[in-house]
Amino acid sequence: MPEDSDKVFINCPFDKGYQPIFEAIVFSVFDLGFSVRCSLESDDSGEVRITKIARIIEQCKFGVHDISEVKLDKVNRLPRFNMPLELGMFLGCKRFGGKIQARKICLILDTEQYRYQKYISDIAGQDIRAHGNKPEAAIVAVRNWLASASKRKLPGGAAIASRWKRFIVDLPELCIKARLDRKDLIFKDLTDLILAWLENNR
Amino acid sequence: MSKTVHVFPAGTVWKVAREGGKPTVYPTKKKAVGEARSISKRFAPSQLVIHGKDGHIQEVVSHGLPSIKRPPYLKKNSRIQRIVGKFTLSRLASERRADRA
Repeated sequence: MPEDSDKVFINCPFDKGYQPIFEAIVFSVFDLGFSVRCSLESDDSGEVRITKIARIIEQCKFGVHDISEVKLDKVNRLPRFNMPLELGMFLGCKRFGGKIQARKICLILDTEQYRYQKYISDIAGQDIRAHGNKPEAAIVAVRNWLASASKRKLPGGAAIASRWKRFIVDLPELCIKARLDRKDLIFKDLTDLILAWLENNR
Repeated sequence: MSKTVHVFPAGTVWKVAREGGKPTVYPTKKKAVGEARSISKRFAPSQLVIHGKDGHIQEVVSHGLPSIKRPPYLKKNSRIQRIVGKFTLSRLASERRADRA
């Protein structure tokens, strides 16, 4: 499948602590009229994970990469390198993937604006924004970047953040009605709920 | 204030409503959709949603808002759509009850 200018690859931590920002980014990408792609989208155990990620990256013109999780894992006392690895794959695809892949554009998110210089300084020159661990700030960063990168007329960040807040209020009740566990919502259920909610409540 | 204009059946008639607004009643679906379309255009950017009998969505029309794009891996989930549709319409109804009280 060729690269698609409506698809946004999301590369970010999937742990519970990051969930509010992940949900906010997914919500804002859909609300902006783009389609979310990420490694959680299918559970095909027959496909090697890195192959699946490469396939998704190849199909997406845009990429949001959150490299904020640089802290050490509590159990193993080691950092997780998946996000920098997938960012590297995205940049490599852009650099070596030919004419179409060269059009790829990415946004790099971190907690603080210049913290990356201390642990991954080679990405200097990319579009790096800070979200301060605040979902609303992540929404505004994604909106402003996509508006500029896609050159489309998009709703403002404040309007999307306001809709996202309403969605978050409705979500627990919707989960009860749908017999889903709000605290353990899988990606497919989350996207189904976001899409249905946006179709009803923008 | 929601940017969505809803058209939905209510017994033998059709209603047009926005969250926070007063619903209007029409004898036919065609007339209700026509009116909802003009309201949605007037308040653009907005969207018009036409519901079926059980709250499910028959059609969504955007006026100045980006259209929602379903990813290729995600088939339409009618069950979730019905649940969210019913939830939204019941909220519209409860707002109206609160207004009358």
